[in-house]
Amino acid sequence: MPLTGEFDFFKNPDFGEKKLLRLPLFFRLIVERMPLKVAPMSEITAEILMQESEKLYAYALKRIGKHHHAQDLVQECLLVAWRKRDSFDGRSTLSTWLFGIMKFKILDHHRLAKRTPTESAASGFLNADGVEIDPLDNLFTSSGAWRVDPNYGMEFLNESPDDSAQHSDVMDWVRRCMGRLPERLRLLFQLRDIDELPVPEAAAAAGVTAGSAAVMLTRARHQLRSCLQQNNIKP
Amino acid sequence: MKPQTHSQSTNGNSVPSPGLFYRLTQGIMSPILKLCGLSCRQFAELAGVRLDRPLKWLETLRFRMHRIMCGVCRPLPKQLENLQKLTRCACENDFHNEDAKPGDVEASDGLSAEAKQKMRALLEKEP
Repeated sequence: MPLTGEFDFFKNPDFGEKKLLRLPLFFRLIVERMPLKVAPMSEITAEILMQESEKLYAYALKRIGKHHHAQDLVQECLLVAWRKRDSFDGRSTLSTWLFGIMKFKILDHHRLAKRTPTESAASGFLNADGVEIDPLDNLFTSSGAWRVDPNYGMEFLNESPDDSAQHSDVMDWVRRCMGRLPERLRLLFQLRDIDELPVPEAAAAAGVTAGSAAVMLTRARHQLRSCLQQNNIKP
Repeated sequence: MKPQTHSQSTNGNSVPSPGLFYRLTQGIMSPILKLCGLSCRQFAELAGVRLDRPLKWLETLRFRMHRIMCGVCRPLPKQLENLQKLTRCACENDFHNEDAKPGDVEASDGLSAEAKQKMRALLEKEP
C-alpha cells in the first residue's frame, strides 16, 4: 500500500472515520462542517407503497392470524401513509416508517376488539380433559424443587441476545414455541413483550383481568423457556 | 420421589434432572424452604414477575436470599430477560429481513392480486 493515503482524498473521497483521522486537523474541521447534501426523497407514489404491502401483510398476519383482518389492516395502513406522505422525511427508510404505522394499527385493532374479561380457566393452559393446569407443575416437585435441570441446553440464552438473534434456527424455534401457547395467552404475551405495553393496558386489550394477567404472563414465560429447552436447540 | 414422567417432552427429547448434590440437599431442605418462601419454584415465579413490575421489598429480600443460596437457579433471571429480548427480535427482525420464514401461523400465499388491485384503486382515488 502506498503511504500517500492522506493525499488521495480528492481522487477517492472517503468520509470513513479512519481516513478522516489521518487528515490534518484544520482540514478535518472544514470537511466535518461541510453540509452533506442528501438526495431529496423521491415522491412517494402509490406504486412504491404497494411494493411494501407484501411485507406489511406478512407481519400483520403473523400478529393477528386472521386473513381478512390482516388485509384490512394493510389497507388502512397504506391509506394513512398515503394521506401523510408529505410528513415523511427521509430520515428513516420507508419500510421502517410503514412498520411504525402498522404497529399502531395492530394495537388499535386489539383495543377495538373489546374482548370481555373472562375467567382465567378459559385463557390458560388446558390439559386433554379441559381442566386448567399450571405449566410450572411440570417443572417443579410439590415441595418446589426443580424436576429438570434449568440450565441444560440453555447456553444460547446465557449469551447476549444480539448474538443468539443471529442464529435463524433459534429464532425459528422461538416463533414456533410462541405459536404453541394458548391463543389468549399468546395475545397477552405479545402485547406485553413485543409491543411493550404496560401490564394493565395489555390485560385490557387481551380481555383478561389485571390480576390474572400477572400470573398468566409468568406462566407463559416459563412455558416458552421450557419449550425451547425441550427442543434442545444447539446453535 | 415420584417417577419423572413429566420431564419427557412430546418431542422425545428429555431434559435430565439436576445434579446429585442438588437433589440430596433439596430432598432435605425443600419443605422448609417452601415454608419460608425461598423455594426454587417461588424464585422462578419472582423472576418472571420482576419483568412486569418492580418487586416489593419482601419479595426482593426473598429473591436475593435465594439467588445467594442456589447455584442452579442463579442464571434463571438472566435467561428470562434474554428470552424477552429474543421474542421481540423474533417478531420484528423478520419484517426487515427478506428471506425470513414464517412460523407456525397459518400458511398463506400472501396478498391476492385482487386485494392489491382494490388497494391501488383506493390509493389513487385519494387526493
